[in-house]
Amino acid sequence: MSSRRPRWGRGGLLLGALALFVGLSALAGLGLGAFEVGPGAVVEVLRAHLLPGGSTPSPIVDAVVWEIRVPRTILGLAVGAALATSGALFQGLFRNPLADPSLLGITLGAAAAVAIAVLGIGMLDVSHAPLGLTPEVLTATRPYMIPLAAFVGSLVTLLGVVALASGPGRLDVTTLLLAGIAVNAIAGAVTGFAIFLADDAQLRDLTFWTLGGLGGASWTVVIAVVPLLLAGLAFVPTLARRLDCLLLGETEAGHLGVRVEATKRSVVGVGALLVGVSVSAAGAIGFVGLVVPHLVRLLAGPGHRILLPASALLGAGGIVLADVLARTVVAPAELPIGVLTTLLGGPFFLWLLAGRRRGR
Amino acid sequence: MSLRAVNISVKLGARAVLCGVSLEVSPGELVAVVGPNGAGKTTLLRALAGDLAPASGGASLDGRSLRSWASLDLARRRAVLPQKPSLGASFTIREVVELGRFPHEDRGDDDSKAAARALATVGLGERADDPYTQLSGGEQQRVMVARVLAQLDAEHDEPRYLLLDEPTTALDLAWQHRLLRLTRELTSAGVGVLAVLHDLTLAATYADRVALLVDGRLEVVGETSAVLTETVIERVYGVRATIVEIAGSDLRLPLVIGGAPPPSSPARGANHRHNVEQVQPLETRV
Repeated sequence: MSSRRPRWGRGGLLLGALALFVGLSALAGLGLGAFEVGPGAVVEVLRAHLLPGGSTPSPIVDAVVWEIRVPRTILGLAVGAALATSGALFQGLFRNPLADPSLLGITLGAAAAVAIAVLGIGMLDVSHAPLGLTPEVLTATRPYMIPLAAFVGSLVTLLGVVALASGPGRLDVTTLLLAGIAVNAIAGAVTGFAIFLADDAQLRDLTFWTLGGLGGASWTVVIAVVPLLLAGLAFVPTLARRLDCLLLGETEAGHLGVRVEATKRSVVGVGALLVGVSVSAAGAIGFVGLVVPHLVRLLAGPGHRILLPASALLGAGGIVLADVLARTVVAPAELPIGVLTTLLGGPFFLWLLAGRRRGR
Repeated sequence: MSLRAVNISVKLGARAVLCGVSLEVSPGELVAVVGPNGAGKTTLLRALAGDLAPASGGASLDGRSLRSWASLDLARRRAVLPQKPSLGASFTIREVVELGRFPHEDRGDDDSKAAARALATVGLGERADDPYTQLSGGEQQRVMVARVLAQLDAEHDEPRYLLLDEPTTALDLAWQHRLLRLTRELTSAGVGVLAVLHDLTLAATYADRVALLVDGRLEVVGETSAVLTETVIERVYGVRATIVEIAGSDLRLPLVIGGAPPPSSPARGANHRHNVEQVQPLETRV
């Protein structure tokens, strides 16, 4: 059994190590920040809320950990897993390691849709309650309208970019990346126009979505967003083996019994859901989907049965750690996390490009 | 029980690539498809694999139209070896071969044993953990052959079919013959094989029947010795050939001697024939 699939052994080890990494990152996310909380106090707060009969160390510690850092960490884990997984999905589908939601324009496309939605909701004349939209209804549905807008935005940009790049027979990756550049520019302009129209409060919202960050985390956001991401992530393992077959080519995958068109639609749908919902809650955090799967592939090979869960874990822990960094390096101010990931991911992308030109 | 093309016509744009071709592959026989470049051999194979929608006619497997088969059921009965494998991902050899087990993965067969058997058959059992991308073209082709063998390795006894598109192109002389002997072992085990081949000698040595395609039409199909005659080869390929009887066997193999004048350019053709009549060795001429 041990000789059966050597990478299973290595893959299993990697998954175990990554699970540990996620646990430690979460602990760091809960304990570190402008207000430091020891691991013991963190555990006490968690026990007080999750198990009957515990007591919290102090109201302040309780508020910082339970009301601010727990939702923030949960959101970070979910968003990181979603972004890294979507990158791995797109790279498998397009058979190209450069495919990434931010490079394909999906991330900023979703951000632009969010900008339009924020302005649109703001401009609705609620005094007439159009379409039965009373202020109460609007307030109640707002946490769900924004994710919906982001999902539609990411799906539309993804389908648009793919349609542009689909020649007869095959998807042209160069065109795909070029279309991504164009979409990024257009989405940037749309967002810029929205910023021009926005009032001060909306402006802060829009800047946040363009740069990305976990500062908007709250239990409301977690409850609106995390179940959607978990549903998307739960569907991903069913795609793993089919994506392996797709690496042989679409025709060959079809000969192996893969329903290619259905698989492509599933990947596109799930990928757009993961990116769109992530962007709606945490803004445009770039390059996670590029860097994380690539690192996993170096460690465990290209098989998706390991690649997908390992990317999810590394992305989850990575984003939480990046958030800790963003909160502490310029404390008490906060660096937008998207700035941080792009600063790390951009050079990595250039390095990948240079490697490809040298022929690997 | 057969894999059958019925009156298939295929158009690429306005050009008719296949015109009303009918062909049947029964379990246990090796049918070679031969013909000049652009005759429609690969198109016929792709139509039989269900990769393209014919303008008219259709393909069926065991009496049912290809399209009515569920993709997994079809993959359990029929494997296809593509002309040029393209796989850039850094799988190990074993992982590539195990992809062939995809249609069987929830059937309770021992997939890793099937993959190991297939790898041993193509002589790569010892190197199962090497990266696929570092192999030579011929070795990669052997890995793909193993993948197809693993796909056909079923403990269930549905009739099975194998489509090979120019399987010998990247292989050296020894492996060309080993591959076709392997194919004969498959046919003895009841697999029906259709192979697109360029080498008429290989076709004559191993095939039960030969189908000759010319300009998208099925020129002739039948017993190998009846199809591959001197006159047919000269007419279709424009080369001179002679049929050699191999002593001690019942093989009659075509031996290609040299070029004949292409009808469109008499001057160059005359020159060419001159060369042939002098029977100069090829090497010294170049």
